[in-house]
Amino acid sequence: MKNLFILELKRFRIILLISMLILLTFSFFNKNIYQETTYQNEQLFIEIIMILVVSISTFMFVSDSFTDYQFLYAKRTIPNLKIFFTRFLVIVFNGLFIFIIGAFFINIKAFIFKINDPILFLISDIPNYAFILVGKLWIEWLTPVTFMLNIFIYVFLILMIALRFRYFSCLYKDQSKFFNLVECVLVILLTHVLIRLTLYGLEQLIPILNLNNYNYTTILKNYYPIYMINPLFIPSLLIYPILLYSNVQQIKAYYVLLDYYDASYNMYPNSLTVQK
Amino acid sequence: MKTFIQGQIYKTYWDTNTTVFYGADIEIKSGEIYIVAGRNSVGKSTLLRILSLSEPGDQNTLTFQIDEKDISFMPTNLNYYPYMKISDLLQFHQSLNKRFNLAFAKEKIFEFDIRRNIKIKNLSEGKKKILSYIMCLSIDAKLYILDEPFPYVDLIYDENFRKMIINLYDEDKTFIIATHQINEFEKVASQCLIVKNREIIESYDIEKIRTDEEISLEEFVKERMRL
Repeated sequence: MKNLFILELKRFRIILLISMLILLTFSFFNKNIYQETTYQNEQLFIEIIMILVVSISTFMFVSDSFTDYQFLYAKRTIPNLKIFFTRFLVIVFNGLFIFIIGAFFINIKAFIFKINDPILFLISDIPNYAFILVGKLWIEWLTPVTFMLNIFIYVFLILMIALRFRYFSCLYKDQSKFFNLVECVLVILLTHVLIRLTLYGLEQLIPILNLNNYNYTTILKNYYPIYMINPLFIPSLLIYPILLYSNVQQIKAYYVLLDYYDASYNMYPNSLTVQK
Repeated sequence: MKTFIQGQIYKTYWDTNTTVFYGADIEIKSGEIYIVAGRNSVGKSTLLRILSLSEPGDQNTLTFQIDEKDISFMPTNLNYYPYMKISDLLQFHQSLNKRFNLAFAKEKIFEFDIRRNIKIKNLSEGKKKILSYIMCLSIDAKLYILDEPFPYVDLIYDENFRKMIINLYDEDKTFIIATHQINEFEKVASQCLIVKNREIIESYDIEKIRTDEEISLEEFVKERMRL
């Protein structure tokens, strides 16, 4: 799995290098460290680049299942779950890489600001920015973690819906692709909603369970309410491995390992049209 | 002699409402070397993909008495990421498949004069074909399915290909080779499958054809395909 992770990661070398250079260039030109807008802009820029890189990585992996790259995985003895998690980890790595590089640049600036003018730094709003760790309590460092976690939950969901759509829903051959896609999204998201509602109901019945506590709600509420908009509730993360496992099992059961060559459908002149 | 695969094949591509196979009978036995012949677009590659379990048939009418891990499949084209060198591809297959014999693959790559530090995208079509062939045969399997291994390959390598199959062959192993170059494989093959249409896959014993028909296998296949 380690080898596979590195070999998959190698595909993104150029994207990561370009993103790093863009971050470096932006940080270099955005150099007025005593202005609050510098930090605002840089944080926004890091977020955009990170989401872009994560989206590109996710898109590449999803599209792999529909192109010739799926042949690479055609004959394998390792389980499908390993492949799924290798891909997911590559996306996580890409996102974290951009975050760490970006956070490093922005925190260096904040650190220099704090050393040169500690009072102005403390009375400014800068320590409250999500990606700035300088001048924060350790518990407040959870803010960027929440941001990352939320993004990766979405990535996980997208990968899972793509997996289900590609390998499971193709069994319903008489349904349209649109219908299949809607069904996949509904199955995955509704399961999530169901779990969330169950947890909420349980908490109403037995409040001591405290199932819906985010732990760092207060911090987020005070500073960044935007991060509270998280339709994917963190405690219900547990359900995703179960959902994934059940999907993979279904795939295995129906021998739908790789339905490649959909593209070759127009190559059969001798064949007849099916009568429905 | 054990039967690996037996039954009827049904396959329809529902996107275009195209039926490639509809109840075509097939039987694959161990210890045989099959040639799969047929006209263009008749469904040879589809047949191989179904037999290799890379693509599902429509109905569960095929009985597989062989584990999926015991099947090694060479698709028409070699697939790789653009950055990949040959060494990367070897590592990739080794990570994916526990039955991949790295030492064998390295030895054959050396034998076929392929440099390992070269990017795959820079290889000629012939060398890509050879690489794909080596990757397939490097997996320790019981059933090897090869889809068009010969285009772009020169006559000397062609000979080596056949030798590799003969060396690997034993009573437990079966080879299924789809090719248009029947003559190249006539000497090593024991059975011939002719995909005629969506309902008929004819099966012939090559030795019987030689003795009974008194014509070459290629001539015989041509005749059958014309009918």
